[in-house]
Amino acid sequence: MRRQGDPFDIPVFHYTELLGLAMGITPKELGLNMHRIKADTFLKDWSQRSSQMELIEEYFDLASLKRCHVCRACENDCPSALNVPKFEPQAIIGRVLEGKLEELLKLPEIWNCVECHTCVELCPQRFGMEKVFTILKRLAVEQNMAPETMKNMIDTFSATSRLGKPQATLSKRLKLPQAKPSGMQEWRELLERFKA
Amino acid sequence: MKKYIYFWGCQIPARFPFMEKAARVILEKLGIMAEDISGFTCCPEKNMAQNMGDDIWLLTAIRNLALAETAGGEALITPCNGCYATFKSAAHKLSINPPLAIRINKVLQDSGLKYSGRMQVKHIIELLADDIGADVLSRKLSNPLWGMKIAVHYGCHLLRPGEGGGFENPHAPVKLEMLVNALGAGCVDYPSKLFCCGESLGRGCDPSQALDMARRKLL
Repeated sequence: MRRQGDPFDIPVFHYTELLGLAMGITPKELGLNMHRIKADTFLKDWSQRSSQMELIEEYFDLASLKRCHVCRACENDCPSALNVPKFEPQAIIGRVLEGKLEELLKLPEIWNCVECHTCVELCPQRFGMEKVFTILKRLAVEQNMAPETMKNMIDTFSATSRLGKPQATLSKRLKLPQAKPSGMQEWRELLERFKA
Repeated sequence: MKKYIYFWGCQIPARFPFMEKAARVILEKLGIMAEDISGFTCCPEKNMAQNMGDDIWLLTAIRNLALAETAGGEALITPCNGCYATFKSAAHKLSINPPLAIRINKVLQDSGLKYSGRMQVKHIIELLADDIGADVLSRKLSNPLWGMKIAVHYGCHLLRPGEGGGFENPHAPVKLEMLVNALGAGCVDYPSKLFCCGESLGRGCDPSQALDMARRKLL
C-alpha cells in the first residue's frame, strides 16, 4: 500500500508482542525493531501515557476514579451540573483519567463544583466526585491558576486570619458587644511551626 | 449547665450582625448563657482553605476548637452552616485518625493549647431542636406566627457531609420544619428545598451562575 502511495503508518503487532510489552519484556528483546512499520511512535506514546498515569496516581485514587467515571449515580443530582450545562463532571473525570491534568487546571469549569457534598452522600463507593475537583482546584491554586476571586479570598485569609472585618457601626446600633480580637499572630506562628 | 462558647465566624459579624443579635437575644431568653472568647480566626472556610492544603484547613479548625476547650468550654455554638461543617468534619477527621490527633496536639502544645476531642459543636438549630426541643419553644411564645407559610432552607453544610456531621438524615431532614411548626407557622414543601443556594459559585466562577442557582431555589 505504501508503494502505491497510501500514507498509512500504523504499527502492527501480534497480540503476544503487546502482552510481552505489558509483562515487562523490553522492545529490544521482542525484536520490535524488525517491524517494517516502526513501532517507535507507539512506544513513545505509551511511555508518555505511563508517566502521565504515574502523575495522576500521585494525586488520585485510580481505582475509585475509574469506578466513579462509569457510575454517574450522582450526576443528575449535582446542583451545579443541573444549573450550568457546560459543567460536565464525568467528562472532566474522563479527562483526568486520560492524563490531561495540565489543560484541566486551566479549565474554568473545575470551579463549578460547589462542594455541597451531595455526591458524597449519594456515592455507592463513598468516594464522591467532588474529591476530584477539590484536588484539581488545589493544584490550580498551587500553580497560580486560580480565579481572581479565589486568589483574593486566600490573600485576605492569609493576611488577616479572617474573611471579613466585623462591622463596628451596625454592631453598635444593635447594641452587640464589641467583637473579640482574632489570634492572628498566634495562628501564624502555629502554622509556621507545623510546616517546620 | 454546660459551658457554652459562641463562634460567630467571619460572615455574620461582617455582613449579617442582625443574625448575631437574634441568636443572643433568644438564647438569653431561653436561659442559655454563652461566652465570647478572644483568639478565634476564620473557621476556616473549607472550600477556600482546602485549596491551600489539607493541613492549613485542619490545623486552623482544630486550633479554634482547642481555644474553646482551653477556655473551659464544653460546647461551641455557631449559627453559621459553614463553620459548623468545618468543625464537625475536622473533629471527625481527628477522631478516626489518632496518630494525626497526636501530631496536631504536639504543635498545639507549644501554643499552650490542647484538643482532646471532647468539645461539642452545636449549630444553633441543632441546639434548639435537640437540647431544648420544639415543644419547649412552643410553650414560650407570646405572639405565635399563626397562618404564616414559611419555606425552609437547611443549606448544604448543615446536613452534609453526613459522615461526621450527624445533624440528621442528610436526605430527609425534618428538624428545622419541626421548629418552624412549633412557632405556629406552616411549612411549604418545595422541590428545590435541599438544593444548594449557589453561594460558592460566586467564588471561582462567573457570579451570574450563582444567581441562576439561587433563582432556581426561589422561583
